[in-house]
Amino acid sequence: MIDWHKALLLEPFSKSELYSICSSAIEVLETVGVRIQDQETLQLLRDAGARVDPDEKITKMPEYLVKEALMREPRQVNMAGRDGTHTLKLGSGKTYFANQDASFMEDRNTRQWRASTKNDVEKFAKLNDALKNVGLIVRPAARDISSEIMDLHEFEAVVHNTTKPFHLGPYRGADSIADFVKMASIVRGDEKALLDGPLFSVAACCTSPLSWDAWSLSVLKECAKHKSPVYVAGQPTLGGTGPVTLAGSLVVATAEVLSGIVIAQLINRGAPVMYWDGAYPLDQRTGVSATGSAEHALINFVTPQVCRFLGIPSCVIALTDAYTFDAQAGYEKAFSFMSAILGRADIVWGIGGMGPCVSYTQAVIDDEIVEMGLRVARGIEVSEESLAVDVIKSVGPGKTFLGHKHTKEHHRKELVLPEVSNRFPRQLWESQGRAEIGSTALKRANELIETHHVDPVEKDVASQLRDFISRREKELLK
Amino acid sequence: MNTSDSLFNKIATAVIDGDSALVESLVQEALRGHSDPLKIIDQGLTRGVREVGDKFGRGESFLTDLVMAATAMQQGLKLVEPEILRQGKTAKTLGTVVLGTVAGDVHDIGKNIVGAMLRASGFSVDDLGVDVPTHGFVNAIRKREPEIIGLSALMTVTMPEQAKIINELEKQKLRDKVAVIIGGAATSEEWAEEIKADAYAPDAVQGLRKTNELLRRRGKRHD
Repeated sequence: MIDWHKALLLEPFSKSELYSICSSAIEVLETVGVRIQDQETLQLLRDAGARVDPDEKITKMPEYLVKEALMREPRQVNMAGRDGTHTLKLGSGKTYFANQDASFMEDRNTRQWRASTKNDVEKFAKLNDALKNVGLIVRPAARDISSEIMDLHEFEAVVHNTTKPFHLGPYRGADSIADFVKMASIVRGDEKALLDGPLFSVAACCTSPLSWDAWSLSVLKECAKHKSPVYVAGQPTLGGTGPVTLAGSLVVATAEVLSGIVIAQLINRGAPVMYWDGAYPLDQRTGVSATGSAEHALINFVTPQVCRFLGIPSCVIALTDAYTFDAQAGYEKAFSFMSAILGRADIVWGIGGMGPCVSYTQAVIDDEIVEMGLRVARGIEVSEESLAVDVIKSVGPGKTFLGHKHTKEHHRKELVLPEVSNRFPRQLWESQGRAEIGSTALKRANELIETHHVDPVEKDVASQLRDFISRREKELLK
Repeated sequence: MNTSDSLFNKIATAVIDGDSALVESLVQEALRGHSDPLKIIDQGLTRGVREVGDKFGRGESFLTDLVMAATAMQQGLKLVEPEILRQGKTAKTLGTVVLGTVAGDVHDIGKNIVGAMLRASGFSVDDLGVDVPTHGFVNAIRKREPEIIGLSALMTVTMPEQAKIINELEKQKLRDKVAVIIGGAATSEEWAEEIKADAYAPDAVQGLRKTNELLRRRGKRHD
C-alpha cells in the first residue's frame, strides 16, 4: 500500500508561474469572456454582476465572481459505490483511477474496433470491478439501444456489474441527470443518502475556446441543483482551439473550467465540480489530437498543481494514439500515467482507453502500468530495517540473500509482481508460444470477466430499478 | 515575363505565405490594372493555395499553413468575385460543397480543416458554420445547388441529427440532387451505411478523396 503523505510529488511550476497562469485565466474571463448559448444562464450571470452582450451571447465575468465561486467550491469531492466499500475522496491528496469515455470497443473475439453495445457496458464494468487500481468505472456507450433510452440502459448495465462508483453519459441533458438521480436514490435509499455518498458522476464540456452549448449547460446546471459530482472539461487543442503554447492552452482550459464553476456555484453553493483537463496538441500533419504526446504528459504534471493552487479536485487523462497493443501504446501510456501519478492528480482517467476507443485488453495492461507507476511514486524507504546493514553482515561476501528471512519478509512489499508483463526466461517464453502482451492481457481479461464475482443488487432494489426504467421507456418512446 | 504575370506570381506567393493583407492589396492592384479576374484566380489565388495543398500532401507544410493560405485566398476571392459578375463571366471550380456542423454541436475545427483542404483543391466551399439546423442545410442546397454536402458531428448525442437531415432531404425530394458525406469523431463507416449517407470521411484527407470519388461517380451517372 502506498502512503500518499510520503509519496513522490513533482510540481514543475514555481509559485509565481502558477500565479501567472491563474491570473491570466481570470483576466481572460474578465476581458474576453465566454459564449453562453442559453438565455437562462446569461440572465443568471447578469444578475450576479457579469457583463453580458445579449447579441453575441458573450459573458464577461469579473474577478470577484470567480473568487466567490472558488470560496463555495468544495475542495474535496466524495463518491461511493453501491455497497459503500469502494469510496473516492477526490481532493484528499490521494490519486484514483478511472476508465475512458468511448463509443467504440475492441471486440474480444475478432479483435477489431466496432460500435460499443450494452453487453460491452456490462462486461467492461465487470472487468473493471475486478481490476484493483480502477476506482471509478466509466461506461462505453450502449449504441445498440435507441438514443432516447440509452442513458437509462447504461445505468442499469453498470449498476448490476460493479460495486464501485461509476460515470455516465447524460445524452438527454438535464432530463438524464434527473433520471440518474432518481435511480441512484433507489439504490441508496433516498436522495439525502445519495448526497452523502454520490454513486455516479457525469461530465459537462466547455467547447474550446471559451464556448458553452445549451446541452452541456443543462447538464452542468442540473448536476449543481442536485449537488451531483460533475467534471467540467477544458480541452483546447494546442494550436487548434487554443494557443499552441502549453502555458496559453492552460490559461484557456483554466478559464473554461472556472467559468463552469462560477455557473455551478451560482445555481447551488457547494456544488461539487472537478477540473478535467483534456488539452492535447493538434498534430499539424493529420489534424489528430495527440493524446499520447509528451506535451500531454506535461499537462498531466501541471494540471494537478494548478488545481491544488485553486482548491479544485483535478482530473487528467492518460491515453495513447496507437490503435493496437504495440510499443507506442506502451510508452505513451507509461509516460502519461507516470506524469499524472507523480503530479498527483486526484483522478486519472484512461484505463482501457485508446484514442476514441476502449479496450478490454488495454484495461488490463493499464491496470498493470498504474501498479508499476504507483510503485515508483511510493519511492524508496530509508530506515535501519531497509538499509539492512545487519543482514549484509550476516550474509557476508559471495553468499546469497535468497535464503535470508529479511528477503522473505520484505520482498512482497518491496517489489511489484506484475500479472501480465513477461518475466519468463527466454527459452520458456519461446517454448510457450512467444506470447505478446496483447494476447496475455486479453486472456486475463476473459478470465476475469468469466470468474469475477460481483455481489448482486438487492432484489427489491433491482425490481424497483427495472420498474422505473420500464415506466420511463414507455414515456420516452411514446 | 510581363508585369501582370509577375503580379500573379506575387499574389500566389502571398497566398502561400498566408499574408491576407498583402493578398488584398495585390489583388486590388491587379484589378486596377485591368487584369483578367479569372486569371487572378487561376494564376494567382488558387495556384498559391494548390501549391500549399500539394506540399501538405507531401508532408512539407502543415495544417496551419493550409488554413492561412485558404483564408488569404478567400480574402482575395471576395474582391475578385464582384468583378467577374460585372463582366458576366463565371469562375471555374471543381464543384460546390456545402459544409456544416449539425444542430446542437458547436465543434468545428475538423470541418474547417476539411473546408481548407477542399478550397485548396479548387472546390467552391460554402461553410454554414456550427449548430446548423436541418432547414439551414435544406435552404443552402436549394440556393447553392451543391454537388456535395458535408455533415459534421463530434458527439454521440448529435450524431442522430445527420440521419434527420438525410431523412428531410428524402422528404423534400432533394436526396438525388446531392451526395452526402458525413464525418466527426463519433461517426463511422457503419453509421454512414445505417443512415444511407454516400460516404464517410474519418479525416480531412479522406474527405477530399471521397469528394473527388463521389464527383467522378456522379459525373458518370450524368453521362
